[in-house]
Amino acid sequence: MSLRYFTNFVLSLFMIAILVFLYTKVQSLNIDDHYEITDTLRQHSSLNFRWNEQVLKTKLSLSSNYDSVTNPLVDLRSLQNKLNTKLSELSVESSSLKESVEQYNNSIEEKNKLIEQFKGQNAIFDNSLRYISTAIEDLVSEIDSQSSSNTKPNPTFLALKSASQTLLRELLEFNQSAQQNLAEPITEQLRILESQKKSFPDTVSVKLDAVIRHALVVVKRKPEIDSLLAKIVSLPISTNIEKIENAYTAVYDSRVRDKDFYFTTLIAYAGVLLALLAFIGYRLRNSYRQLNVLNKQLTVANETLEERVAQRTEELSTAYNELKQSQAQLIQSEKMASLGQMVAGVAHEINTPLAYCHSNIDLVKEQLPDIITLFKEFANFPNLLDAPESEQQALKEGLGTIQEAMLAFEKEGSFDEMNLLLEGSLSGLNQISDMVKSLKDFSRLDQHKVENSDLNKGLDSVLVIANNVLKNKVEIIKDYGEIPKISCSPSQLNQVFLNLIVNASQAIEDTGTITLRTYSTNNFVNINIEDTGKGIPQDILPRIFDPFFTTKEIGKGTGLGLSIAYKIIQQHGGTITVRSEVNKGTQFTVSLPVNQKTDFKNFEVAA
Amino acid sequence: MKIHKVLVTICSFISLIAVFTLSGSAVVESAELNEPIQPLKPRQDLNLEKVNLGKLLFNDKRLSGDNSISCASCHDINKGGVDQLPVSKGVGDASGLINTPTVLNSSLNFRQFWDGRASSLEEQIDGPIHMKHEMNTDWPSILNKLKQDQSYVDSFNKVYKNGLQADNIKDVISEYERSLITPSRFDRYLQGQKDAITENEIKGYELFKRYGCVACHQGVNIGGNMYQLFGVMGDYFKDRGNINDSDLGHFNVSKNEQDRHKFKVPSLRNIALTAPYFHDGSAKTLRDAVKIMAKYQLGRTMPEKDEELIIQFLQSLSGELPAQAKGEKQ
Ligand code: HEC
Ligand code: HEC
Repeated sequence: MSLRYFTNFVLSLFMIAILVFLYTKVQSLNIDDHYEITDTLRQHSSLNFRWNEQVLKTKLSLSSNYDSVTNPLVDLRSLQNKLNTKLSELSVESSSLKESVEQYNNSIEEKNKLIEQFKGQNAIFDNSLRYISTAIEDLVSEIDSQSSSNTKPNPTFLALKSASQTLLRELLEFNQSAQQNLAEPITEQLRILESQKKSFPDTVSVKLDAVIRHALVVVKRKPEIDSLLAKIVSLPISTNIEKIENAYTAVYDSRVRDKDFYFTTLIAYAGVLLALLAFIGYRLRNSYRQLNVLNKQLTVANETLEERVAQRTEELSTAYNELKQSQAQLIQSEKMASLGQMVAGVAHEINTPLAYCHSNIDLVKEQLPDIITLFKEFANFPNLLDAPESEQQALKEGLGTIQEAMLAFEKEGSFDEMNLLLEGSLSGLNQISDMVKSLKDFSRLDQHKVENSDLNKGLDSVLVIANNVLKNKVEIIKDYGEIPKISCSPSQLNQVFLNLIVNASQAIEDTGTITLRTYSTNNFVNINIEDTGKGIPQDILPRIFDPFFTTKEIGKGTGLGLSIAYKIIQQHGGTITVRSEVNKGTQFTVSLPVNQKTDFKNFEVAA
Repeated sequence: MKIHKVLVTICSFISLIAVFTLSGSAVVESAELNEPIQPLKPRQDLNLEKVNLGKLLFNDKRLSGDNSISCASCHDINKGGVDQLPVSKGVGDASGLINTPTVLNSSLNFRQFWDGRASSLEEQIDGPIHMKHEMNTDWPSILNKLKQDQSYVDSFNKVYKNGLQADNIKDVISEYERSLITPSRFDRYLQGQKDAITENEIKGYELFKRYGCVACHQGVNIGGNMYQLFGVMGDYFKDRGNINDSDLGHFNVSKNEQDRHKFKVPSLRNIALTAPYFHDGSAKTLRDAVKIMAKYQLGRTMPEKDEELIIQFLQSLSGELPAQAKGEKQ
């Protein structure tokens, strides 16, 4: 049962686990994450674009500081971090995704380097370009001031002046155009000016030097800056972002496919579970229905139960009563059996004195006609005396008859004999009355009254009753001790003792002795009945107190004797124990408490 | 997916067109709006708990191997955020290799260090901590020392889930550094308060722009947003002589020949307080520095009058620390 519960439990856990697994798989595709990633990629694009824009603005001198070219990197770095963490959160092994991100990051590094260079170059270029016009202005005004101090215009000065003005124009043109070949003539021009530098006075040559150096910066840096810009713009940034996008899309699509798969599986699984649930529900409903039916039956049964119980109780009590009756009958028959024994014994005992009383009285009765005759003679004698005719003869005859009768009496010694006979009869009658008295003593069968009873006396009366069974066969040895009177039901105890004694005598096959011992031990009175009979075999010894157990032939005993004895002793609060040895004898010991508190009202068994 | 691409392309086109059509008018406006130097605004988004913790640590000498110096020993907030030495002095008076730049406003620099080798303040801190001639220690020993200090442990536990950690120490110090923003009179001028600086200072600013210092020293931090060759218009190092590793500048980082002698253009904020100047500490006065700049970076000679005005302008760049950022004197 518990194993089934366990497997059921594991099985349902497993099914739930599958459900949870599928559910998390379906949920694992977080659409917010997806949007965030695509959004981040879009931000990358636009930030890169803005960065380029700022570079261009700086190049066009629309912006006068480089913070705007520098700061996008900071934003881009945090965007890169965001993208990296977002993608790593995806925890997918996509080499193409990794590769494209790496490529993109590399291109950003490259871009940053190029922009750093651009910043450095452009700052200087821009400064020189701004300054060059001032420098040339300064140079021209210096030339002018030099010229004005000289009265004659110096042709080299004039040439320098126009050359520097051409230079300025050319430089500005150079700056505006995308043509590389314009650099050559300017550089050539600058080389010439450089070579002429020494021929001018210091004040002029210093200015010229500044012009040349800054012009050189412009000429040199411009193509560098242009190529840097070209490189910056042509960096495969958007391509790389696109690659990331594609790689990510591939990952995403496969995830969507996975998700769809898991979703379908989930639906199917959920369907299966639902079906299972429905089935279980159906089964449950069925069992409920069955249960309901059973319940109804049960209620009905419950309702009838009381009736049935009552009926059963009645039946039982009838049966019980019958049983009790039959038990009572059994007990009664047991009682009758012992009574029968008793009566047999008592009848025998009474018979002998009764017989000689009878014959004695018969003998006395035989004497009676002689006495009656004598008595009649005497009654007639006064009449003779009074008769006038005084017939001596008749008188003499009458007297002779009396004398004769009296002599015969004397001769026969009839009076002595009669006296003896009557005395014998009297003693016989006494014997009978003793007998009856013991019978009465013994057989207070119907009185349960508890009284102070002397068990020794009780035993004696039992012996009288049992005498018939015992005589000529058993020698009784009395070993009575001084025992206190106890309150009990003497008739019941006598029954027990009789039973034990009769059993003992029956156990003795030829002749033997029964020893009756009474003694008291602390608060107990013990009666020990020991015989020298054949003993009780060990295997049946434990059963001898069972009701209906008997070793006697069928019809000879009820088998209730000892069990009733046991009950009686038990109800007296006492014990009955047996010790027996086969071929040696049996010893029953009854121990009864001196002050027993048993409520004798409950003495039903022997009733 | 496709829609994004289309959208991006359309946006790109629109922006391009906008840029080029607007550029004509923008030139005129930009003179006014687009000052090369932009006013400084204190950060408002700082975690004050971190700032205060960072301040404590910035001034804590337990961050050095022998407990002798703190960040503040070299970056004294009350002395413009520098030590005012030609080159720094580390533990046991070990002589450094390079001049100490200020920590004030350094959060605005696009990279940290003269050669730009650290990309962030957090990354920067690892430098002085481990440098033999600076603090000469390591994080485990610092953490060991600081963990004895229950108040640090408690404070860090309050701010961070993982408590006292190297990264969190860097974070709080950086946060503190981000609070070291020093708006000056000049910023108020830029914001429209025309009398915030003197006439001469205004003239100095005009010269600063005219001479082309703004080519490199521009932006919010008046520098700090690009690398530049030190010696654009002349070979500074040849003239100075005795070239060492720290003179190689960004080359040390990129190993790219183009980057030889290129340095992060330093911020000129609080420049009047941070003498001596340059990475080698060679310019003892601002005048020296301006002279060198004019010569080597601009290829210009500058009349003393102009120098003076530019210096006056530069002095107007000394700013005020926000109250909570002021460091204790160590
Ligand atoms: C021994 C003196 C010394 C100590 C101590 C020191 N620094 Fe520095 N700091 C320097 C020097 C020197 C540099 C420049 C190094 C370089 O660029 O190579 C520098 C650079 C910096 C920079 C870069 C500034 C910029 O604009 O590039 C920051 C920020 C900084 N330090 C912060 C700190 C902090 C925070 C601490 C404490 C953890 C600290 N420093 C401790 C000497 C020191
Ligand atoms: C071409 C770019 C460029 C120009 C133009 C330029 N600088 Fe510099 N400036 C630099 C660089 C790079 C450094 C750092 C040099 C070094 O120390 O290695 C620097 C450093 C400085 C310093 C020292 C900063 C410090 O903290 O040590 C001052 C002051 C300065 N410049 C002022 C000026 C002035 C004034 C002008 C205009 C006359 C100017 N600069 C023009 C690039 C430039």
